Amino acid sequence: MNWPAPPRTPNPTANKRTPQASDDALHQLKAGWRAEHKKRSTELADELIKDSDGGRADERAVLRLAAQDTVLSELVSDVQAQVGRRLEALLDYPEHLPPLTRCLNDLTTSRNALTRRATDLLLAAGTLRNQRKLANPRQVGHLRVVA
Amino acid sequence: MTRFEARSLRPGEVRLADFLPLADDVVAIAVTALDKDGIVVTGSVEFALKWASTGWQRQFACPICLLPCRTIGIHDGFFACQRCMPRRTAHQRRKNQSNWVGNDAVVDRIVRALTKLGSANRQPQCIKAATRQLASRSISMVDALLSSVVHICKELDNVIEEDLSNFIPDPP
Repeated sequence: MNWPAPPRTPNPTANKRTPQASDDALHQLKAGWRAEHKKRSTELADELIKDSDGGRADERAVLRLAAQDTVLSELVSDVQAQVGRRLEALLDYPEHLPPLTRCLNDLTTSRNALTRRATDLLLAAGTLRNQRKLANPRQVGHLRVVA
Repeated sequence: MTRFEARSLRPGEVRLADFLPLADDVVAIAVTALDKDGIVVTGSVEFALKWASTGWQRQFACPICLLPCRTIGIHDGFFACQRCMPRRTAHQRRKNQSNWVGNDAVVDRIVRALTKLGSANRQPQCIKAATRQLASRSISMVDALLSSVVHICKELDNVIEEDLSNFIPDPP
């Protein structure tokens, strides 16, 4: 005997995120930002290397590292803005503020470190370029009489 | 009396040892050197005598205190000895910061290895390996940070929706 099919009821968990779906979404997000980061950092490094007239291997490596840190800093800055927006929305719910403020603090620290690191690396690239210019063999020797 | 012009490639300092041996008639050196940030600066350095156990030794005279010194630092475009303008290293300044233990110390080591004089320190292979390691560490650090942020934000977004739904009036 064939029983009639039960009436279709809306699945209460259909639109809710399961842990598996959440993990997949996070994984996709990570893969997305990694691909974006790779693309942006390559573009920026190419621009920097072009501006420095090619440069040597060490200078190019430093510039690539600086480009990576700059792009990471931009990303962290965007996330910081988003967290800030949520903090603004949650101002009326003080019980939820501590984790968010802690998170914002971590983001700010990381962003400051990344920015400082990028600055240091760009300064190092400039130092290398100037050292090479000063040590240019076409110039007159190391020590010369001028008066 | 002879005046010399010299170049110093060490970032942030001018060392007497780089210009030795000096002729007796040299009274001053016009130095073109690099600031600690790699900016080219020019200045004049004179000499002072110092008793060194067996005889008088000629050393740089600090432009500020006029005392003899073997190394002159370059601070914001002007020259001064370490007594007048003591300078702390990046490690001394930042060792207690949380990021110094991670990647900042590695970056500092790479920068110092590159800008230090001598071709032996500029081996592209070592630098490449260090930069690759550093890049992957930075990415994984930001990855972990973003994961925690996403986790917290998702929880809070649910809270916002639930709490806000209490205040939305029922439709007529």
